[in-house]
Amino acid sequence: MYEIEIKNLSKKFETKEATVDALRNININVEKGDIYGIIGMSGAGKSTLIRCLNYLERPTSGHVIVEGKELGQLNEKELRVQRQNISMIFQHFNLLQQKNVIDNIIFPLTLQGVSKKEARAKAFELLAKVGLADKAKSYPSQLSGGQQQRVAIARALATNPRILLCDEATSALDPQTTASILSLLKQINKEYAITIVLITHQMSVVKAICNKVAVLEDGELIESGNIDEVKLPEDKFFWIDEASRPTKKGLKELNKEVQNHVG
Amino acid sequence: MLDSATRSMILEGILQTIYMSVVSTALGYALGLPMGVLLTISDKTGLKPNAFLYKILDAISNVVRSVPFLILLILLIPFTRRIVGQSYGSTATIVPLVIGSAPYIARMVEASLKEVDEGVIEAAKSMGASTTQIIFKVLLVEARTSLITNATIALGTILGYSAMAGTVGGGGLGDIAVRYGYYRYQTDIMIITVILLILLFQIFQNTGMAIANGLNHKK
Repeated sequence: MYEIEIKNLSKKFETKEATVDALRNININVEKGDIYGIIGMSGAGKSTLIRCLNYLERPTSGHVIVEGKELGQLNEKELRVQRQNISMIFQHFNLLQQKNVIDNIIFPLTLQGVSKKEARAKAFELLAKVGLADKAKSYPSQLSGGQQQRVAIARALATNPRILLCDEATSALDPQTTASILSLLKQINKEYAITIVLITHQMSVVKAICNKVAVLEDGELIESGNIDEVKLPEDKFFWIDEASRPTKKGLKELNKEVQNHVG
Repeated sequence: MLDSATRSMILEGILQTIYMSVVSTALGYALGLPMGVLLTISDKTGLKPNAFLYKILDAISNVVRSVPFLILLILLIPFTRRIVGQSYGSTATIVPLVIGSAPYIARMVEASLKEVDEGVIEAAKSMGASTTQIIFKVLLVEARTSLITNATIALGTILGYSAMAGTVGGGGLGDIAVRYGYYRYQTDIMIITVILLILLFQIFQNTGMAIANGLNHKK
């Protein structure tokens, strides 16, 4: 059984003027323990695709089967329970601005009715895990982007999810911070056996941590499979401009840095 | 300068004005806050879009707001008399103040809640939060600074409206200003009441803003 099975998935957006085919007939199988990268340009449909995996977006047709459960057949309440197994982190971190770090991590647990004491213990443990034990009482606005993403990762892990979805999680971060976040993700993937699906427009992210990759272009999957088998169209369109394209050397360094972080 | 009867009258006026403004604002929020929340979530981009509910609330809010307060005050006299037992005095003034202010408050609440970052709401959804949980644990918490700032504005505006009720025997400082300053040409009393109204406004404003800023962790 696959951890996540996406079958013939299509998504159309209806507007008054026209119908937009955001995704067409997508098929992806994610196995347990994978770090699955979905890469594409802006507008390729990757944000929509990743939101179909926890049904923040409802597919127009097709199936999303997570741990054997077809999400489309769950009622709203069952879906909410299922979402507790599928955590998500975001490009802009999306932390509660009016709550401090520890209360942000506790938040998903309080939604489930876990006692405050138990939740706090768990939150402090996770905060130490992401290397921010001394920031418990800080507010998100007092933290750097990388630190906020670490808090978001701790928050995502609080409910012991089986799957972690990463929505452009490093796109707002500088290369160094990106490397440290990626190594944290890799560590989480190993240590907690959490399956990770990430979307990105950065080839370097895919190369640094993914074992599988799918290439999305204009709402369609043009390639997918193991990272060493898939021919990645690196030169075609994935770097927004020359300046943001890392050199071969830069890429090697990024990889080395990730390896160092993972240890 | 003033005899003791006048002084105690002014003192009573101050208390009545505070009583009317504070109680009306509180009751105005008791109606306006839920109405604002419903407007926010039933809007077409809200958590539970409901065009029918939104249109009804929208219409109520717009109709009430388009009636000038002085007219609303007079229009509501039979209703006020039924509820309070009389149509003059400070308690009676609370009725039109609440009805007149609730739709404004609802609109301000709606504006505050719509400022909450969509991403944070999406994050809560991704964690499996229900609509009720999102309202109470995300929207109202994240928007609290803006809500309190707006509550301060509401209190100040209601203070001004309560003075307007003085023209029809509404009690409070406005009533005194109209009866003595206007009908009896006692300019000194009018000036004193105006100064007191300004002072009250300042106190309300500064307290509200201090609370709002104290609770804000965003900046």
